[in-house]
Amino acid sequence: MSLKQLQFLIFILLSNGIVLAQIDSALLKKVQQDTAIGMNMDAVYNRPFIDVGKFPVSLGGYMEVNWQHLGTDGISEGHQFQARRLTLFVASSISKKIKFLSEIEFEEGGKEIAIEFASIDVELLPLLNLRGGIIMNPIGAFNQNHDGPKWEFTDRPISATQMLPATLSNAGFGLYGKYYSKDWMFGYETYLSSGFDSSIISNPENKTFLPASKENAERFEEGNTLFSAKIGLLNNSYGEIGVSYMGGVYNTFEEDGIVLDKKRRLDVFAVDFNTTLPKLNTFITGEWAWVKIDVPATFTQQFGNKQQGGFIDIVQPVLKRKILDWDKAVVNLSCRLEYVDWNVGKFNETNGNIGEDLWSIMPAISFRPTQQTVIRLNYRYSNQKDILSNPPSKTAGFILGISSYF
Amino acid sequence: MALLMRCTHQGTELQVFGDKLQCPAHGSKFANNGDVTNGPASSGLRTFPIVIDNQQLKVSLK
Ligand code: FES
Repeated sequence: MSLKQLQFLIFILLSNGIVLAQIDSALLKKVQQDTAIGMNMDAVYNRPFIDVGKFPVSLGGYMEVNWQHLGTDGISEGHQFQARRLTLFVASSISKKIKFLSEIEFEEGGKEIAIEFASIDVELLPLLNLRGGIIMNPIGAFNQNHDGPKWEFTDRPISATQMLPATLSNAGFGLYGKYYSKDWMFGYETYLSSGFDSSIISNPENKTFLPASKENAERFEEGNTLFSAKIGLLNNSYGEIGVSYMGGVYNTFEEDGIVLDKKRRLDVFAVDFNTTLPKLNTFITGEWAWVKIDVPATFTQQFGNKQQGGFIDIVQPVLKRKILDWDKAVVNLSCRLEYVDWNVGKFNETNGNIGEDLWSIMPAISFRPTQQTVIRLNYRYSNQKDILSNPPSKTAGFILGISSYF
Repeated sequence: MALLMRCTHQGTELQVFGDKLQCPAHGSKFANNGDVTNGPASSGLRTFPIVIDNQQLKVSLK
């Protein structure tokens, strides 16, 4: 069947009501009568036709709960139970080719509530969709693909949350589209949105810290403009690679017409990839990002003007069969390697390397009764150096978690 | 065969790209015969048989 036919059929299916016995009532919807008065000749149209209407609003989401027992340099933090997050997902098809999608996240037991995503998407062509609302900036792969149950690890990657900073969403507009041809797919996204503020270099962390900007509640209303864009290329047998960029001025360079400072920019580049090895079925995914910030010369070198980091996950399914009552249960062995350098470069005075880097290794075993639910046990071993590269502080421990779509 | 363009994961309406269908919500992908090619959805799309009867195309919702 050709594609044209397929679309045609789908169209028929969605727009025609066909009255048949024993039809699943979920597919049918009564047409609303908009006039009570009709002439006799209208009676033929006035029957209680049944129509396949727009899909109802769909409601879903996911949640995550963890237990962890971690210690740093031999000092244990004891048992910690964490209901990390609950995300609600609401979507509806407003009309043909117009959709509403949203994701609302409750973190730390509801102390933090955030609209991660809320957009109206208008499909003009498959290659040209208009999106407006609170958008997720397409930087790297994790920011947009952050749903807990998709990953084998209880924690989000450090580089993606502490450096980049996932989940980053802003008010904005943009275009996106995709093009398929045989085994290849090409996709792009580009947005103009609100952006970062000077808190990225003036914050309680006392270092260059992009997530600080997310504290600003006003960022959905005003502030600097951020441009972000991503292109991705996917091949059904080789995998996917993505290249993304976001950048813009981050400081308040003028107020009421008075120039306070020169315009200072923030630029971020990222590459991401994922692939599944043939035969072995090993799934490998990772991303790496570079951050460049124009830090004023009056700041000490404690505030890095360059950061870089990333992660790579290797996931090996070792068992795929019926386990208990689950027909397609999977057990995975995985490992995540992570690295972040919060402050790339050398000290001006001594020419010694500026420390502040971190690496972490996290082996994991996870059990998926179905694709949508994962129970995972991780061991983390990480190593963080301070700015002067003193002997690193070591963190180690176990984390057990459940994450599931609902 | 006709497909119901409703994601089997959480019910979002699918988008058509070439001969593939993709869910804008969490990225599930389906082939043009309704099979899942990419999670988190775990089952195929609902399909309906069709018949061509005297130049008319009929979709059976049974
Ligand atoms: S609703 Fe389609 S992937 Fe989640």
